[in-house]
Amino acid sequence: MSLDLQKVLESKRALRRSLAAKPVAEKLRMLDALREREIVIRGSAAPSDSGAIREASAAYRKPAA
Amino acid sequence: MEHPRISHLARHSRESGVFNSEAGHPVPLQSMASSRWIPAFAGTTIKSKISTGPSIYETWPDMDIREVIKTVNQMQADGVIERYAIGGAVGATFYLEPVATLDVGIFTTFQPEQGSLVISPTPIFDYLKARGGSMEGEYIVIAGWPVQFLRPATPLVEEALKEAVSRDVDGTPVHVFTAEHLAAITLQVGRAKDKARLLQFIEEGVLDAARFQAILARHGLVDAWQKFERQFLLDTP
Repeated sequence: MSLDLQKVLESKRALRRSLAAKPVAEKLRMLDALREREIVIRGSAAPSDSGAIREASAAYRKPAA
Repeated sequence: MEHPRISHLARHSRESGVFNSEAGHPVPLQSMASSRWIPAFAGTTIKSKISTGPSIYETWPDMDIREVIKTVNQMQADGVIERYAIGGAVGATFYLEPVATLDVGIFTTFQPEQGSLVISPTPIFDYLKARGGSMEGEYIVIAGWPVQFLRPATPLVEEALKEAVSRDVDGTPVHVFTAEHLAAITLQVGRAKDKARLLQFIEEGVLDAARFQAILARHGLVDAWQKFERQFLLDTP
């Protein structure tokens, strides 16, 4: 373990690069797993009418008319 | 000739041809010849594990995004959709580290219904529902993933769809936006998470600088790029 911020940042960058370089099929399997976790996290979060500030949908993501 | 106002981009272009030569590589074009069809919903059970609230995000089906790809390929083979390409976070996963996302954005052109000039997504929904898909608001759930079929809403997205590349996932072809188009779209959309993704594209060195510059210039995004550059890149050590 290092408390040197530069080393920490370099280490993080290296990890991100190694993840990005993985085969696409493996990365897609990771997306499946990440979504499962996201669902669990959202399920335990406050309901959407809690008054929390939320980000608007992207302009290009209009649902099909 | 490079645009004189894209200074940061141009500097990297001159040095390496990509933003970061360490990780930069072109996007390979893959053959469509290895296409094969596996029924998308075979063995897929959609079950609710979280009971609170009506949101689609609270169902927990057996997820397999590769089945989504196979389904969309079959839709294309059956003539339900014309050209398609994956965009958004799932599209970015083809170039960057995977990041959690809750849906799949499929950009496509819709066929007019028979005997009608009106372009409608109804054939898509009918096709998928007949194969076990379920509607959830503007999404249809395929293999556990909420999928949104989107028509290109801007000339940039239209171009992205037209110039999408074919990649291979375990022998299955898939069409995805180029990294340069995905990056330009994040700049155009401009939410916080889009800016973060654009920074990832730059940091990973997957953008071809000349192609990216040309896209920015074609779609009036040079000023937006300059602003982004000032905000996030020029002070970077």
